[in-house]
Amino acid sequence: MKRGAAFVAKYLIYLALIVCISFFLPRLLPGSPLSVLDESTVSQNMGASSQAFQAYYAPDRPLPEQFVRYLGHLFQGDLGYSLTAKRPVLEMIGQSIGWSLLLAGLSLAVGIPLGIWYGIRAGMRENRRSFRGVALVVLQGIPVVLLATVAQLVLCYQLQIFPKRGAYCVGMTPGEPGYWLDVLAHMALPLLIMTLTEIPSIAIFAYNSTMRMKGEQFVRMANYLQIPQKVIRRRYILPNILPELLGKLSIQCITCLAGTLFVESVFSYPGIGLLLRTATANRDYTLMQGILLVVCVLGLVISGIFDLLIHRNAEKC
Amino acid sequence: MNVIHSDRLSLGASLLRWWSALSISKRVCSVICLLYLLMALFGPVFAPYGADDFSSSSLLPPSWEHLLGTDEMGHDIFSMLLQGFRLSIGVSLLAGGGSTLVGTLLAFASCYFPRVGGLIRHLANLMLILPEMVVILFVAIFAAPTMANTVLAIVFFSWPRVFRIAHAKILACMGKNKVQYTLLLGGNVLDVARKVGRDLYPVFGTLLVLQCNRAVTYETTLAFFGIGDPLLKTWGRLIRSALNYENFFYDTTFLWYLLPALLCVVGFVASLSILIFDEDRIKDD
Repeated sequence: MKRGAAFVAKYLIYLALIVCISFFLPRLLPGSPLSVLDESTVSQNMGASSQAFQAYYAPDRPLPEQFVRYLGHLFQGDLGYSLTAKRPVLEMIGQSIGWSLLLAGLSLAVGIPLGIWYGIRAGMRENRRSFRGVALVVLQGIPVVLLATVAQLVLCYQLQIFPKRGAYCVGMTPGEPGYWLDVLAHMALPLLIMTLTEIPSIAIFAYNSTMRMKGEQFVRMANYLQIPQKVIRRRYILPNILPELLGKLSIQCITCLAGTLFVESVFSYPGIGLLLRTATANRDYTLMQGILLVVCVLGLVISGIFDLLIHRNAEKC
Repeated sequence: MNVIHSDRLSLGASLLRWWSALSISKRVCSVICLLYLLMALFGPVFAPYGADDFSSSSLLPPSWEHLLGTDEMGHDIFSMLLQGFRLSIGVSLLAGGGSTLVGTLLAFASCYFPRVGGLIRHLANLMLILPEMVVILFVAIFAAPTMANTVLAIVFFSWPRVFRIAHAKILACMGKNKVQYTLLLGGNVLDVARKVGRDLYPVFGTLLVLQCNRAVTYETTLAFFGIGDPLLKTWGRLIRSALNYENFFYDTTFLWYLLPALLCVVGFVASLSILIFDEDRIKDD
C-alpha cells in the first residue's frame, strides 16, 4: 500500500514538473514571443499579436497570474486555439492521436518480439559474426527522417510500389468496402521504417544480455543435458534477461514515440506528426505547446506502465 | 623502498597503443573521421565559389564549372557542401562536447555531494522520460533561430543520458581503495577528480563520440523541420532545401542536390558508430 502511494506520488510530481516546464520554458527562452526576459520581441511577432494568442496567453499580465490562468485552462481541458487552423488544439490532437497510437503500437508489437528473437538467437550461436552487429549499429545511428525520406522517394515515387502519402486514399470513408485494405496499404511503408529503426537497439541489448547469460552455470548445465536450443532460449534465457530488458524497453518505447512523429511528418500520415510539421512550419505556438504536453504525458504513462511491469516481474521471481 | 611506477603513458605512447588494438574496420573508420575533421578545417578553402554567392543560374545540372550543380537561388551546391562540413561537424563537436562535459560534471558533483546528487538524479530521470527530440523542437521553435540556440538546446536536453552512464561509473570508481584513501587523507575535490579521471577517461571518450553522433542526428532532424539559422547551410539545411524543391519527387535533381549531403551525414554517423562499436560488448543506449 505504501509502495503504491509512493508510486502514484512520484508520477504526480513528474506531471506537475512537466506542467511547470511547459509553462516556464517558452517564457525563459531568448527571442520567444512570451519571453519575460526581453520585452521588445513581444510585439514583433505576427502570430503573437492575434486575438487568440492574447486571449489564451495574456502576455502583458504579471507572471503568477499567467500561471494561474494556465492551470485553470488545463483543468478545463482547454489547450487553446491553433493559430493557423483556428480550431481548438484539443480537438485537433484528439483526431490525430488515434492514428499515431495505431502506428506506434503496431510497430512496437512487431519490432519488440522480432528484436528480442533475433538478439537471443544470435547470442546463443557460437559464431559472433553472424550477429551483423556493424550493420545494426549503423542502422540505429541513421536519422529516422533521412531514412523515411529516402524510402519515400525511392519506393513511393520512383518505383511506385507503395502509396505515396496519407493514411487512406482521399475520399474513402470507414464504411466503404476496401477501406481497411487501403489503410493497411498506406501504413505498410511507415510501419516498415519504424520497425527497422527499432529493431537494432532491442536486438543489441538482447544480444548483450544473452552473451552474459550464456556463461551462467544453469545454462551450461542445460547444454550439457542436451536440452533443445529452443527450450533453452525460451525457458532459461528469456525470463532471466526480462528485468533489464523491460527497463530498456521503457526508454525504447519513448524513443519510438518520437520516431513515430517524424515518420508521420515525412509521409503526411494524419497523426500528431503531421500536426507537428504544420506547427513548426507556421510557428503555431499554442499547437506546439499542446503537442508537447500530450506527448510528455504519453511518455509518462508509458514509463508508468513499464514501472508497474518491472515491479510485477520482480515480485514474481 | 619500492619505486612506485606511474601508470601514465605519454600521449604518443597511449595513441600508439590504442591504434594497434583496433581492428581493420575501425582503423578505416578512424581515418574517415580524421578526413571529415580535416575537411571541416580546410574544406571551404577549396570551394570554387562562396557559399553565399548566388550569382550563378539556377538549377544547373553538374558540370565542370559547378561540380554538383546549383540550387534554385543560384548557389553552387559543391561550395555549400564544403561549408556544411565545417558547420555540421562544428555543431556536432560543440553540442556533443558540451553535453558530455555538463553530464560528466553533474555526475561527479552528484557523487561527491550525495544530497544534491539525489535531486539531480531525479531531475535526470524525469528528463529521460520525456522524448528528447520533441522537447528540443519545442525549445527551438520558441527561441530565436540562431545556431547558438540550437547548440544550447541540444546540450540542455542530452546531458541526462551522459549523466546516467557517468554516474554509475563514477560511483563504482569512488568506491575503490585509492579514492577512499584520498578522501581519508583530506583530499579536496580536485584530487578526487584527478584520480577518478585517470581511470575513466576511456569511458568519457566513448561518451563524447556517442554524443557527437547524437548531436548530428538532432541537428539534421531540427533542420529537416526548418528550424535553425536559415543562412548557415549545414548538411541538414541543404537536405531541407533539396526537399523544398517542388519537382523533387519527379525528376532526377535529387541525385546531385539531395544525395551528396545525405551521404555526408550518413557517412559521418556510420563511421562514428562503427568506431565505438565493440564486438565483445556492443555499446547500447
